Amino acid sequence: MGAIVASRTNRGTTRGRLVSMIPSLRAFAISLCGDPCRADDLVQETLVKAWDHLDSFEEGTNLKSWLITILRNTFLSECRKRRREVEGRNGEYDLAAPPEQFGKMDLNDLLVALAKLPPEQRVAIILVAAERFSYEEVAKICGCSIGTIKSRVNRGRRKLADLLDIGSAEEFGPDTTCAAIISHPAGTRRRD
Amino acid sequence: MVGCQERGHHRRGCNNQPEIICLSGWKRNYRSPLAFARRRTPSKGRIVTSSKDSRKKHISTMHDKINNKRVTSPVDMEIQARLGGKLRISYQGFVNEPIPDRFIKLLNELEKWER
Repeated sequence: MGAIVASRTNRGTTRGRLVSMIPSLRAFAISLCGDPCRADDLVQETLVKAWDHLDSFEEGTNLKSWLITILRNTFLSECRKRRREVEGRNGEYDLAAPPEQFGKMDLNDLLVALAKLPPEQRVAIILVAAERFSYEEVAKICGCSIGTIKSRVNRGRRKLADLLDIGSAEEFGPDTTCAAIISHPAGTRRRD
Repeated sequence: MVGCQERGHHRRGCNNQPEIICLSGWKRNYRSPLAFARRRTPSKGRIVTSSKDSRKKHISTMHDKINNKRVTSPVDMEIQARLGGKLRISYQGFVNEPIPDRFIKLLNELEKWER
């Protein structure tokens, strides 16, 4: 009885933590599949799975990583399912023709380009570049080696740069957040 | 060697049949330094030079690799930084979106169902 009460109170506090993770989960899901509706379905499935398996979550470990692992696995199994369905019609991955706009959110060219990457590369590049997870954390989430993640990120970056046609910096337009980093990369600061 | 000299082998010369222990000791101690020296100098030299060469080669290839990377790296870094910036901005935009009610409702339902 005591254990049940304890698990219930734990769930009560975990519920709050789950809610706080929803924005990140949604951002990850939207970046992954490029479609907010499908992303919300993914997040919902993730939350239900997480709730069902809360007992397997080790307290003290990173809840975000755990949830993202669930979302990633759900997304990949869905991709596999879709690929099996789509296979034969065309060789493209899912999201061949994403809608151009959804409500308030503009689907930018980046999401379209991301959708053209293989799902595993998408996962790696989003988690490393956008979510700012370490290679080690991403390797743990994806269940592979750090080297594999690094190569996925590198290949993904190259492909994205090609898809977005980033041959030169000018093509990207002014970007104040990066300008500072670019003008003074580590170890190459000018001596005044 | 010292042991053998003490036993008089040095004065008696090598014609005498020395004791097995001494012979082995003497031979080992007497020959080995020279033999080692002879063997060591050329071989050591060869090894060192060859290893130096190989190291040089290795280092040069490494330098080439690094140089090759460095030749393209400023552009790569710029692209990477801009790509990363763009990714993060887009990602942050999604993070800042308000949480849809459906998720709150879903968690409420899950909690109710649990009870």
